[in-house]
Amino acid sequence: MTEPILQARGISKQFASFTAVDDVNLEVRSGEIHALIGPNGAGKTTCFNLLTGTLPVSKGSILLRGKEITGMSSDAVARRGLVRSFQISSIFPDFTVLNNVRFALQRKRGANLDFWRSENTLNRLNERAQGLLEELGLAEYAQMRAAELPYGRKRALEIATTLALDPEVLLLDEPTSGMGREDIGRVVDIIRKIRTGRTVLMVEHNLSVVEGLCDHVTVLARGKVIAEGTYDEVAKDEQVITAYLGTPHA
Amino acid sequence: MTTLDSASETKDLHVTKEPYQILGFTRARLVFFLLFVAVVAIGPMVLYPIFLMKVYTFIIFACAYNLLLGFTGLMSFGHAAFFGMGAYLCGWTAVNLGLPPSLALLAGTAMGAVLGAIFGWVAIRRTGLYFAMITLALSQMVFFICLRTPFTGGEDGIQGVPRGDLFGFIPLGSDTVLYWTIAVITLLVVVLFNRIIHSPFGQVLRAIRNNPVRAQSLGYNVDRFKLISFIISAGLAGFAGSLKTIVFGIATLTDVSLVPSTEVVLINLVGGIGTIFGPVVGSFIILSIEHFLAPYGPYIFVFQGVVFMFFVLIFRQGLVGELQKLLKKHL
Repeated sequence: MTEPILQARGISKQFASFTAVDDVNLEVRSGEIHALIGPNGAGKTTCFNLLTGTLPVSKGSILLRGKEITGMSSDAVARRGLVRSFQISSIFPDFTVLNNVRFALQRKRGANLDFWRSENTLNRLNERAQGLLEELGLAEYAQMRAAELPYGRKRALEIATTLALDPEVLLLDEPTSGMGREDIGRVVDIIRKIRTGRTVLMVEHNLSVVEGLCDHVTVLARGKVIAEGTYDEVAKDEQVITAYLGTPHA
Repeated sequence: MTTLDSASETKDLHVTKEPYQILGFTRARLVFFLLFVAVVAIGPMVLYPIFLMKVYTFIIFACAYNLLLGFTGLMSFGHAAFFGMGAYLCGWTAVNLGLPPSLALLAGTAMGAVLGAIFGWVAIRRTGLYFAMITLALSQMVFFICLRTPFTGGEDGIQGVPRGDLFGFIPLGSDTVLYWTIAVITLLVVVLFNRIIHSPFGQVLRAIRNNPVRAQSLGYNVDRFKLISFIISAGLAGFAGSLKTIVFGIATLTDVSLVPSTEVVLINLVGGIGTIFGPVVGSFIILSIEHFLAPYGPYIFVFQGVVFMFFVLIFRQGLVGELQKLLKKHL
């Protein structure tokens, strides 16, 4: 349970003269739910983009299961078991809800270059896709166009699609952003349900979500790690309180 | 899982239901396809066969283009390079090497694909307008090379390309035989086009068109799929150009100029980008305008401009696309 599955060693990201992420060290231990929190503009999403190869790092290295993944493209990182969701629901709007999930399952077929075969050959994946939809409470929407889903359900669909890849490490970028309380509750339940056998790293704004859910918290501010530990530990940290509230005597 | 099994039996979930299909067409598409077959069969009794054959070669060209624009989400402004170079190489090999039509067609198709690989390799890392501009620039370079190298015959083009016998026993010299050969080939291409779009490979392309970033984050090598789609599209465009050479017996600078590049965009826009039958309907309309308004000379371009604006402003989905919305069926 304790060896780190995902490690960032001194990663930095420079945009022209602005340092978005500055020498960040991160250790995500296998089986934990790890939260990355911090005020707006702290570099959380950039950090995610670096970890998943969506953006190249300026400095430092990233290790997955002790193996270097620095500089790999995001699709290569995904194939190694580190899969992310996006802050803005990222779905395939013209596909049905079922086909969104099926498309993720399809990747395991391999090259997917068979242009001469009917797409009905993909129907054998339908049952698994339907199973995942059921797990996330989306079963009744299976045949609906994904674009027509309500916002909260789109988030759930994105998580279902991510889960379809059966990733060892799941990176969730603000899974509850822009949601009402009811939807937040559902997403938290989903994360609890899916954590078995997986490691989750999530960016979260909503501290009440973090409090009950996450085993380990890393706090970022202005691109730097300012605190680490359990939620209770970091919540008492002077620097964290300052970063969140602006004044030391809040 | 047990609930799922029982549910699929009560067919509340369309999970295991195989859609009814013939030749890979859904019912609505099959109706459209049969209509097209009827037009192909009756056409030569009503219209000039050579004109119809020109329409058919453009249908193939437009299908090739739609694979890229409508189903992969890449806008190319340089497809004339593949069409025209295919036309040239088919003509050149038939005239100078005495190749039979089957091999000349193959040479033209390969030309398109190879050129497509080069264009694609350069352009694929860019998207949107930048992608379009790179393809435009490259195709202008190809045009200039064609203008200056002796192999194309310059302003004269390659003339007197023999039709020969396809596979050694189909005498294309006869207009009737040629018509039916081209017609059958075109129908087969439409079937193939539908098959590619509705294959596992096509599913990936459509996902990339929908959301390339997400497709990549799910582990798909997006650039590779785009490149393969580009090469298939370019090869098919080269094939269309080669067929055109066989039909008319000539390959000229016009084939490799901006004209086919813009025509093919217009055809798809009018017919319906991202539909299977948009290229068919669009080719008939655009080439009919050119054919029947030919006596009015340059006014054709004015008329085409008006058609273009009409569709962009009012009929954004194209004719087949709008019909699709009306019938709530994919066509």
